[in-house]
Amino acid sequence: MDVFNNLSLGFSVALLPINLMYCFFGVFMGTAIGVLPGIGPLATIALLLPFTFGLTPEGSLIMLAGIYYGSQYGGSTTAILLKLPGEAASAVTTIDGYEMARKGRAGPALAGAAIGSFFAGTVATFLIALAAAPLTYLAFSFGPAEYFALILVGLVSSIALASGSVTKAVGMIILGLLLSLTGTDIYTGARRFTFGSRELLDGLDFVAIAMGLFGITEVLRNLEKSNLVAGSIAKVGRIMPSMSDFKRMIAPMIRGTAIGSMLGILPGGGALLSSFVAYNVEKKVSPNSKEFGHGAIEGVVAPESANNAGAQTSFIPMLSLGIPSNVVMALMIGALLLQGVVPGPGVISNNPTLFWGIIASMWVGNAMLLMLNLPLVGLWVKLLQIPYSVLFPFIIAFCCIGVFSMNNSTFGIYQIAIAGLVGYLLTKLECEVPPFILGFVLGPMLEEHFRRAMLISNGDVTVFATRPLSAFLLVIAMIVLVVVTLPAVNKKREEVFIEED
Amino acid sequence: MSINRKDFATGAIFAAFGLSYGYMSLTTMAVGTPVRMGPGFFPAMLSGALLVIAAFVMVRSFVRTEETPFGEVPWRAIILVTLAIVTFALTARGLGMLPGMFVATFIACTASPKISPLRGVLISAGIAAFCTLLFTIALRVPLPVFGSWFGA
Repeated sequence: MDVFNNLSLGFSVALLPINLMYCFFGVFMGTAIGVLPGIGPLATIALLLPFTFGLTPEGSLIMLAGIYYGSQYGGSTTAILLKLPGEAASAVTTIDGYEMARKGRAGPALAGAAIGSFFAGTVATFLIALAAAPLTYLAFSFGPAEYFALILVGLVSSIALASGSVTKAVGMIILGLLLSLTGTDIYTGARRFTFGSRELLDGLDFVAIAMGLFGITEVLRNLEKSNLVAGSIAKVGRIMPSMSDFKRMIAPMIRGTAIGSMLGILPGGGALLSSFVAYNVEKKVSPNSKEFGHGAIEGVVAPESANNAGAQTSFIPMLSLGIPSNVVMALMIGALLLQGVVPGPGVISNNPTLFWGIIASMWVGNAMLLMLNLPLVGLWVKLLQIPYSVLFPFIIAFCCIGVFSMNNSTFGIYQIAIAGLVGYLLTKLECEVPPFILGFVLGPMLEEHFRRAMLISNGDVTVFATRPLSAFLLVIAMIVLVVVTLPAVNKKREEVFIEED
Repeated sequence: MSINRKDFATGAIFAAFGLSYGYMSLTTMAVGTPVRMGPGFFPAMLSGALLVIAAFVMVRSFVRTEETPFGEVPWRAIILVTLAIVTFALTARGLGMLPGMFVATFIACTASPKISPLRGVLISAGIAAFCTLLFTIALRVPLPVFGSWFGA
């Protein structure tokens, strides 16, 4: 079987001692930072992004992927022990997780989350291996028109992730697209929007913008709350779940994984949506649905399995098509570009070791998380006790040094400050940053494919509608746009996100 | 007359970008033709789209007027956090990692009223030492412990 050959190639990369080390460092740092309340996976990845630049593309992506699912895992630890979601996707875990912890069953809750995540991670790894390659071959029939349409689908679906007004989200996407064009035009060499600055010839610094928008904006938002009160940290106690716990875990684990895997592939899906849907489904179908809200282990296992599965399958469109389905994937694309790898269907044939290495490393990373987390729970509890007054100067320090070390210049540091201020203002005005970042990452690609498509078609705009695949994708984009604007869906969307706060 | 001030402000920001970027695209860059687009073509299109959105949001702010409270504005944090970052950018090379980081993180500490000056000194000294060890010494980030102002 091809898949097994490919996976064994992947494992030969992922199991190299040096890559094992990057993977370990990634999941460890990801968990450690993900545990800290007030720093989500986005900020974590943005903070740690600069550390991956000196590495090989494989090492860098393996580490970033590790940081991503590590931070998801860390988030659930915080959710269970502190009733504070370390990151949005584990918000529903707080409901039953903290109840279990209050009843002295924090240990089984943590173990359930870890085992569920590992199971989901294993299944999702195989799914990626199975699905990514065929999708890639499909992508080879793509011309510029199809790519343009596909990127539009990606951009439009980012609106589904935003909680506020659809119109404002569209505005933020366009703003991101516009600012991404800063610098030298690749076709003509003309300077665009550089305001006479030499440093801006290479464009705005993606990492600095991401750090400012996610890191600094978050710091400012946390400082605005007069006090970031943390509840008392629950005692962990016995870790191993009982036999009856295990029996109750199996079905939710499988259902959660299935839901998460499907939603993760959809653009705009990913971990967040998966965990909400899985929890609600489980609450309906579980024989113990009465216990939900009072510490049902199903209510921890299902969303945790789902968010891990979703987090992983969201790599499928990113790896095979080069289209990020959520903001974390947008940051991954940014990292690939900075490594000199052009994301897209070419990756699988040009960099097979990178492609399959990342996939295999996900399974390795999940196995590490399982082994790492339960014994280290004591350490995570210690981390939970760090007060925010120590954390936020640290975040600022990391942002500054991270951006400085990337190109050995202080110019990017000013961009962090500006991005932080602008990001904070826009958040205050209820404009959301994720659609902006997606636009910012995809802008140059969107323009390139648009220009190429128009050149090939001799300036005929209808090319986007007459090529069947492109027309099909544009119809999908339209449907998504219409669906998110429907009043009923809109209301539901707001509810989901209000719960999350 | 009541308006949704948040929406109005958003519209105004979008409009400002749309107008200024649109103006720059059309005047300082070659626009070209749909077949051979110049550097200004795509940004001009985007600016136009942004202006449409801006107009829509601004008009809506007069129609759908209910708004959520703007909430507390942490001026102290905003000013001091920004100042900390800018200070680091300005002094990093001159002061070097250890003193530069100390000064910047101390300014950052003053952003929170809950950190006493003494505690701020301790926190920033700790962070500066940690960053020096991790970045300058272990990871070889090209920023010396002491910068050029110390005659290094």
